[in-house]
Amino acid sequence: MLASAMLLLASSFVVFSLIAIAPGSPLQVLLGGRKVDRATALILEHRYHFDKPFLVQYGYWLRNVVHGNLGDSIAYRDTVASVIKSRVAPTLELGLYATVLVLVIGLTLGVIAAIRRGRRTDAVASFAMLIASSISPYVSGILLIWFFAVELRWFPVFSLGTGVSGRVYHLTLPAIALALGLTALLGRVTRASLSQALGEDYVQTARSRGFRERRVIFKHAFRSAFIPVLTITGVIAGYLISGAVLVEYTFGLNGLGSLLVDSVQSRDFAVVQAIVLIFTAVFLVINLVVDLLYVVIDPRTRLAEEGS
Amino acid sequence: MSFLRVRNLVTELRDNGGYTRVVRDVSLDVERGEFVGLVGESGSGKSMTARSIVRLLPPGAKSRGDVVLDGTSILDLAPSQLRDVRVHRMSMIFQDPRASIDPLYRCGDHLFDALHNLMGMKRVAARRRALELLTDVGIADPQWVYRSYPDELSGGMLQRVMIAGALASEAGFLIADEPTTALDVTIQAEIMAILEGLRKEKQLATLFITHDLELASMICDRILVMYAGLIVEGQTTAGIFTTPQHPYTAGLLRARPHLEHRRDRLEVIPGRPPRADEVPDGCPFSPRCAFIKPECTLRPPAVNEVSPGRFSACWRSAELADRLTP
Amino acid sequence: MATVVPARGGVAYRRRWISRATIRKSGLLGGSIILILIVVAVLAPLLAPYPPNAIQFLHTLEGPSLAHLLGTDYLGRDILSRLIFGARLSLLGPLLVVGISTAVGVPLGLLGGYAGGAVDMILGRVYDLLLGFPPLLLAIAAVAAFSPGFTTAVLAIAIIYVPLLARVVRSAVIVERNKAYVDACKVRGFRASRIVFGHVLPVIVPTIVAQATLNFGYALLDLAGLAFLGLGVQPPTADWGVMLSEGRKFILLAPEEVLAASVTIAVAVVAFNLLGDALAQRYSSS
Repeated sequence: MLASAMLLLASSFVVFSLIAIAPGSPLQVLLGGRKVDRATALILEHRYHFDKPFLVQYGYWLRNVVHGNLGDSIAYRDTVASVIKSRVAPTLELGLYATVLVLVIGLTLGVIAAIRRGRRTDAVASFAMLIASSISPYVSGILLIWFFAVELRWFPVFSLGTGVSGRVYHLTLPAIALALGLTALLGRVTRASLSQALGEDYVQTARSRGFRERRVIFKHAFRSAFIPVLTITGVIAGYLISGAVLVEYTFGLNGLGSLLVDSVQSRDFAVVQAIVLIFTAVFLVINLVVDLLYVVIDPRTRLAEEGS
Repeated sequence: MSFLRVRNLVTELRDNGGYTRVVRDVSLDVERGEFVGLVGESGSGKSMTARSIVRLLPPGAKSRGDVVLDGTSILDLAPSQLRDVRVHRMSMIFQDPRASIDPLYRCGDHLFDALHNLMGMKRVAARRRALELLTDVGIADPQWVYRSYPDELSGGMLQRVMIAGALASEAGFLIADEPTTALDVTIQAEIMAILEGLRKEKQLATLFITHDLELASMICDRILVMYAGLIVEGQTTAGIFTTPQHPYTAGLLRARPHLEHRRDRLEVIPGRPPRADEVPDGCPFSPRCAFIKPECTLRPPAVNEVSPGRFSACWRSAELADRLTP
Repeated sequence: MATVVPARGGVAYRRRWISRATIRKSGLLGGSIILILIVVAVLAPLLAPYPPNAIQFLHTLEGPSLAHLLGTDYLGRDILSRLIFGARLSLLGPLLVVGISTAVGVPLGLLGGYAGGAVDMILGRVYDLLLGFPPLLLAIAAVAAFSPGFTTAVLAIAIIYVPLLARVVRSAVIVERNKAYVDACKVRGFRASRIVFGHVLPVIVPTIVAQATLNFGYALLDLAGLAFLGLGVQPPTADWGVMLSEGRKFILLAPEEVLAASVTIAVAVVAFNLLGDALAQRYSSS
């Protein structure tokens, strides 16, 4: 757990350092090439502590971040925090929607496939899944848009909709685009690990003692199979985040992802820093939760930690 | 009528489109309180025979024949009836205890789960019984073992836990599938001692499976020798070692190194056992047999009772009696 | 997807489902497709009916016709020609990414795997750091710092891919390090560098090639993604990602460009995945 906290700190340092690595003075980077008069420049230099040593700057920046002060957005002439606040909802909704899809469909398909190991259908299905998981969200997004929105006119294109049901309707295609490849990935991993668990000797022992098949599967096979599934969930979380950026851009949703892209293009560095930091923090937190869950599910991990 | 009566058991495994016969026609009996050893090399079909009796075969496998346990025909049972038999009337211990006990749960749970959920004991009673069972198998600190995870215990300890688990069901019939193969030789002796103790106490009918003829002789009343899916010989333990009835058994005995008689080379049986899919016509041992005659390749061997209690699948047993004696 | 090995260890789960023969055959299919793409890229000037940047204001957003097999884009440029010429940059980018990340990642992996100890631990932390960012995010941040363009995108993604290769190499080295032949070399007094480069590396090469092939596909996807966001290759250069970006705006009126680009990218990535999987299966020990 300490390691994860260190990682978060180190990541924030990397994000912060980009401003130093970028060509030009830090102030120039922050302004994104915009011109200001000398007086304003001096004021800004003092406010952002650019005159102080690098590590001290980092310290100030970190303290600000912890207090919720993410700096000021050049392009929007507002604090970064409020700009982000105004655009966070669509991203959260999209993320949640896609997560539900991935978990529900992916796990279900994986479990069903593992329990019924067929022959032909398996090969075909798994081949299809291989293809599906090769397609990045923006490609599937575009294909989905074209097929469902343009050709069939089942779904609206490029808008967010009103009200809860309207939102769900409008977010369906984007969520599917985002979830598609990852669902296939989760399904494959679930299927593989559950199949393996079902073949383990202790599952056979349980059967030999007369336990019901369903109980054997739930109590023994599932728990063991869950470990690799948990691992891949951490990875999938990362892809959901970066995929959200692509999907928002593809579908014209004004969430944090498209804000990120806009800010890069409009050279609004503070916003870019803030969003990257937030996304990374979320990713690391999710992985931290995964690590904690490992210990709950598999007592052997706890033994290892106690031992060392 | 024997407690366990198996007649003409045949088991086939599914294998890339076809079926391979791994148990070719096995018949055996086990009485209450009797330890019968089923001895054979890897691939001889001994494990598959045991699994056919408890119906723990891989998907797609088929069995036929007669398997009757205390009056109940096992192969005809419906799934829920089979489960019932597994809970109350037969139990099995496996070769590698570390692989056969779920590593994610405590050892106590391995026992508690069956006692409480399968046999309907109340929680407190189940826990108490579990601790009793652990003591029965010679564990000095049952509370600690109850709380521990399999990772924290040695192989020998785990095997005791597995035996305790098998005893929990108070079954009359036990199959021990190579229970000491995965363990150190010193631990092996301890486990065998436990099984010996159980034999005296519980009068279990036990089928003891091993590749080690000497090990079987330590505890078994009778020994059945298997080769290529068939039982080629069956006698009392003493009989097997003094007057083997089958060339294969004789070969095995002769191949043992001796401390007393020094020889220049170890004796071996030439060749190797056939894989399940390459068993020859006639007697499966014939290609390696020193006493082969043309008739051996024509008809598959029939197990005949050479003298009371002594069975052999070699039609020349009586004739070869002296030459087979080590 | 940017990894075959999930960031936190584990096995590549693809292979166990599908029979070996199917993977082998699909590997050949993938390889053939890749070969075709390379040929198209190299022979672009000969194959393309029009120059990729030839603007024709009178023929914008036309549908497929005999003159323009895939139609024209919003500036009247022939889509098919842009697709063909686009293969050059769209394949060059991933090639550079894989080249750089392999050139950096393999030595690091060999070093960490063979030396072990503190060196390995520090390197491991660096990898954790790089992989602790959601994929692409670090690349986007780097582009923000250094302004969008082909070079920036390639370098950023190459840096992110280094840990992928380094870890795979490291694992393979650790496996080999424990084998008897390494001990035999040590006993004979071989220097570490000779053991690593002369004996261990040749054994590992197939694994590297398999992973690099898969990385090629992922890099293609990531670079096209960056171009799509306007953060990589910039218009008006002909590139599949750029075509996606430009064509997307006109999907309602004239979807040909965006569809053609999507399908091409998808096919290319799948091809690399199939080939990479087949190579991994053929040469892996698992």
